[in-house]
Amino acid sequence: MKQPLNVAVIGYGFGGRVFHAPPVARTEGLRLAAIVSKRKTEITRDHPGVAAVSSPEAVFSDPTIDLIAISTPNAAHFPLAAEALAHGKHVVVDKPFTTTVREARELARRAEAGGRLLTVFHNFRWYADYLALKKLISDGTLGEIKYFESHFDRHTPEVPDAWREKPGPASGTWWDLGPHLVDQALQLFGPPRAVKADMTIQRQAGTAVDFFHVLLRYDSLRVVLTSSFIAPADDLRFVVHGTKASFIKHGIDCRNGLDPHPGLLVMGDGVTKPVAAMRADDRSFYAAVRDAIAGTAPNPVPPAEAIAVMDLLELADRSAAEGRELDVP
Amino acid sequence: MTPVNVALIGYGLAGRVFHAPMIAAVQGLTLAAVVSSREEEIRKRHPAITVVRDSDEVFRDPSIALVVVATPNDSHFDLAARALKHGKHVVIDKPFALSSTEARELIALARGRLLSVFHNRRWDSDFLTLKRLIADGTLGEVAYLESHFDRLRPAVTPRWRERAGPATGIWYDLGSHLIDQALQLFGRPLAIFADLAARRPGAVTSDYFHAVLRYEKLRAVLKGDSLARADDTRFIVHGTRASYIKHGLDAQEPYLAAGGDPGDSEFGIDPRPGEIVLAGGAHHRVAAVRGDYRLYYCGVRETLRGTAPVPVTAGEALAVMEVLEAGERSSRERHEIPL
Repeated sequence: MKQPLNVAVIGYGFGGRVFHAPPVARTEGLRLAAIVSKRKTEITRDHPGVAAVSSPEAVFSDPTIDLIAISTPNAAHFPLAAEALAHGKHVVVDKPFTTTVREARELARRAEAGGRLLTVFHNFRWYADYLALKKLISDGTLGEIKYFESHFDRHTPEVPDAWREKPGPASGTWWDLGPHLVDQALQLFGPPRAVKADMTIQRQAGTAVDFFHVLLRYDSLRVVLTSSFIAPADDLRFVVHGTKASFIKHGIDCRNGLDPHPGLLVMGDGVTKPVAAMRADDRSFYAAVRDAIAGTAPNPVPPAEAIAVMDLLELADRSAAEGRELDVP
Repeated sequence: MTPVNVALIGYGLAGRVFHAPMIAAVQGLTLAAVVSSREEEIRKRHPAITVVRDSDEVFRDPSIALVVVATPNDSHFDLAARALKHGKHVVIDKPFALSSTEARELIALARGRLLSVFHNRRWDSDFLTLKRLIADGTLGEVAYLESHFDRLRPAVTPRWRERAGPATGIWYDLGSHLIDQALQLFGRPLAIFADLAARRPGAVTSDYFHAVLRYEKLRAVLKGDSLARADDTRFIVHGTRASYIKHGLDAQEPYLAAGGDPGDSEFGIDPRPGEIVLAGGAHHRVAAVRGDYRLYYCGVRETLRGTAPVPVTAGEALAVMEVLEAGERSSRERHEIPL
């Protein structure tokens, strides 16, 4: 059998601890070799035997490291990814790809030139709720989709002391959760004709955007992406109206295992039917990355797709600032 | 006390389902005449009532004190103006008129006469319940309100509401209710962005709207969709302390449309009163306030007696018109319109 790929994760905050290190450690053909973070005690406790190093330089210059996953605050994505690529590493960047489209394009160019895999962690594509929706669309159950509303609500009226909640470029919930919702919409329906975004800070102590309501206009279809942090009833996920049926889905976190809230189909006569629950596997993204590096499968999230997400994130920011709908070029 | 004689102009859906039964059910008001060509239909339901073809007959009749205009939107202005010129008090079905200009002209003509618009959905069970949940602090400070009027009507019908022209389509027809309710709850927004669309094959006027009313922090999203198969969500309201989730439209309209009597004991009771959801997911059924459209006409009666303010002032209805127009302009020009 082939040697497993050695993976280093940079960053051991929420993303590294929950979304990157555990699935890497559990994915066949990958070996979690090192984690770059100051949180050594936690790392040793969670992943005994994995090197905890303080500086990213150590993993860049380590010739045994094949793949570097970057799960740091957003502003560090570009410099770290650029440095990793310069050292010939394959790179996974957590979403958002970078803080500007220009940076994203630059990374894509460098990866292409160096022949390295560069991909962005749009892991919501492998969530059970999204897999169910994709199936209901592709097998014709819903008919032609006329309306798609995608939520990510949470009730956190107190503002936590986290970098995500601080002002700055590419900060706030639009750049944190928006990338997931944008990526899914683009995967399902392609680029919209126009976007109108409304963003604001609703919580008393908030300093970065904590509410967005973004309308994507297609020919006849309308897509609404929305997120609120003042939402005691925070579990509505999808509202989809098709010409044959509607799909109403509750329950937010469906990244591993059988979806406990598979949702409901509503037929034209008002009759409701349960949807067959889908099973998610949080290793799916990293398994696909492994295969892409081996050359047996395509890049699960090619840079061009992640750049399209960035384009829309930026356009929506501008739409919100200018208070008008903007055409997608 | 002498009852007030009321003449109703128009016996379409609004006249038949809402105005005639409500007026007939309110003590102190007498439905004296109906202007309509549907004589037989009217006599079956209201045998004692005079049915006339020409609205001038009721304008000239000195015994008629109040004229109710429940005709297609494009005749609201003309009929209301003539009624006011004949010294009648006037109630108009929503929307007020075709434009805020017309509405202002009517206000100028009213001069001491009652001029009011039938924004009956202020007396929906769920809206009254929501008002109470906000007033008594159950929801805390409201950050988000989503208000729906969705239906599954995939085929375009030849009804006047679906024809092209000014103040037509679902935005003016149903949007006016949702706007009035939002203004009642939160006052005038800072700005509106609206997306109005005609999405069904053959549609020539709006059959879809998605309007965002922007307040300081609060957002009110008003939605109407004729292609919503799960025509179910009515309110999603998020406050700092709790959410109010309500499914299903108020039960009064279908009850009345099926010939039910507003005096029945079950009239106005919402079979799906909605839920309060607390942080963490605990939820319980709401004790709903009973809905009652008769209260609008009780209010009109009291106003005419001088014992209470108008239940829907012309100024409030004018504000709804202004938001409707701003929404239409926003959709056309594709930017937010400040209010």
